[in-house]
Amino acid sequence: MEQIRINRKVRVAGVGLHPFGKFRNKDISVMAREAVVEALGDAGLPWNKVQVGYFGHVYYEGMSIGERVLSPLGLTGIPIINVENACSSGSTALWQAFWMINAGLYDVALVFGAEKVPSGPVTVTGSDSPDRLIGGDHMMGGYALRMRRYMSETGATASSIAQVAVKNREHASMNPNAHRNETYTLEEVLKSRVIADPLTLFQCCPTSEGAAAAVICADDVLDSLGVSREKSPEIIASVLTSGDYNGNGSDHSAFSPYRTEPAALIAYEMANISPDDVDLIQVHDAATIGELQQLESLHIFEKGKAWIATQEGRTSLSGDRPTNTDGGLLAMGHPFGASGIRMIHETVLQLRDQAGARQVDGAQIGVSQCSGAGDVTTVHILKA
Amino acid sequence: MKKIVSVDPSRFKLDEVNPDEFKLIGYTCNECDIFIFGPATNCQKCTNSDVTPVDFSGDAILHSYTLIKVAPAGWIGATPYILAEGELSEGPHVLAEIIGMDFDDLSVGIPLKITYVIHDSDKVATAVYKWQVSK
Repeated sequence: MEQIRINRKVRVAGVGLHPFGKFRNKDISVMAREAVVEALGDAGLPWNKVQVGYFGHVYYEGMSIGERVLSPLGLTGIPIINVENACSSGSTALWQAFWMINAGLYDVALVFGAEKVPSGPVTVTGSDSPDRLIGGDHMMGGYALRMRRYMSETGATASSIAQVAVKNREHASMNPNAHRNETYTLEEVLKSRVIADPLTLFQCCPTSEGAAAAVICADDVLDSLGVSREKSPEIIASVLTSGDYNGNGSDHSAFSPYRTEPAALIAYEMANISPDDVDLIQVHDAATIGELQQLESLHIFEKGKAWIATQEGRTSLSGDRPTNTDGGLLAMGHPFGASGIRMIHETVLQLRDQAGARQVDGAQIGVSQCSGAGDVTTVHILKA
Repeated sequence: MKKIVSVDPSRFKLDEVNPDEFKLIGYTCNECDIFIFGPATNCQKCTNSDVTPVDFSGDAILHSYTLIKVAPAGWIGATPYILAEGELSEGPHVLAEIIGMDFDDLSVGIPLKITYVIHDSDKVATAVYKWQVSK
C-alpha cells in the first residue's frame, strides 16, 4: 500500500471526558455534550469556531445522534457525520477528522464519541444471523480462543496473563473517571466467575456507558485562534486499516491476530519514529490477552514475550513501557464509540504532564491503538 | 415430516433426500489455489473472480477451544458449551461447537471431523454443523 503523507501539522487542542460507568437515567446525548463542552473549554475555543464534527457510536439510540448532541450548543450548519466502525468508531472519527484537516478542507474539527453498551455478552452479527445458532459469535469467546492458542505456543500460563488485569486496575485506582477503580489481587481475578475459559470476569472489560471528545486544529491556525501550541500535542501518525487476507479466515491466532501490526508499521514510518521511541502506550485490552497481543503487534515487545514483560512490571506506570495508564478498557470500561477518543484524552493529559498520580515522567511520545470487529484497527501517535 | 434446512446454505450443504450426505462448502481460487470457507464472489487473497465451488473434506485439527459459560443472545443449545476453532485440512478455519467430548479431555492439535445436529422448532428443523473428535 502506498504511504499517505502528512503535509499539514494537526494538533489536539482540547480534550474532554464524561466519566465511564453506568448512568441509567442519563441520555447518551447529554453525556456526549458534557464531554464536548469540556473539550471546547480545554481548548479555549467557542463552539462557533468548529467547522466539522465526527461522532463515533455503535448501538442504535435513534438517528443522527451527533446532531442531537450538538444542536443545543447552537445550529451553525456545519457538517456533522455519525461514524460506526465497531470498537474503533471513536478512533475512526478522529482518523477522518485528521485527514480532512490534513487535506485542507477544514482547520478546526470536533471529534466525539459516546455509547451506552447493554449488559451481557457482546455479539457482532445481527440477531437473525446463523452465527447465533452456530455459537461462534461471542466477543470474549474469540479472545478466549486467542488466549488458549497464545498459551499453547508461548508457555504463558492463565495466571501470568491475568496479571494484566491486576496491573490495569492499579492504574485505574488513580483515575476517578474509571468505571472500575477498585484494585484486585491476582487470586481474585482468577477466581472471578468464568465467562469463556480461560477468561474470567475480571479479565473482560465491563460493558460501560460514557463519552469522550477532542478538538483538533491545524497547527497553522493556532496563533490566530489564540490556542496554546505548548499544551496541544501533535498527531504525528493516523492510520486506519481493515481486514486483509491472513491465510485461514480466522484471527484467533497466537501472534498478530489483529490488523495492528501492518497499521503500526505504517504509523511508525509516517511518524518517522521506531517503537523504541514510544514513552507510553494505550492499547485495546478488551480482554487481558488483547493487551499482550497488541503490544507484540505494535513491536513494543517481541512476539511471545509480552507476558514476561508484564510479569517483570515493565508495562506498569513505573516500568519502561507503561501501558494503559488510565486503566485501559479493563478498568475504564468500553463504551465503544468513546473508547478510541478516551485513549487520546489520556495520552494528551500525559504529554501535558497533567495526569496527576498516574503521570509518566517525561513522556514525549504516546501511541494509541484501537481494534474492532471487521478487523478494523487504528493507530495514532501523538508527540508533546 | 418437517423439511430439514441448513443453518447457512452458503457454508453447510445437506442432502434433503439423504441427510447422511453433508459437507462444509466454499470456494477455491483458480489463480492462487487458496481455499475460502463460505460465501465468496472473488478470491480473498488476489481478488480474482475466477473461483470454483468446492466441498471440503470436513477433516480438521483443533486450533483452539473455549468453554462458553455465559452464552450470547440467540444461542439455543445447552450452556455451557464448548466453542472450537477447527483448521480444515484444506486450510480455512471454522468455528463451531464441539459435541460428544468433555472439555477437560481436549487439547490443541487433536483431529476433528464435521457433523451436525438438528435444532427442531415449531416451524422448521435446522441442521447446525458441529465438530466432533475423530476416533
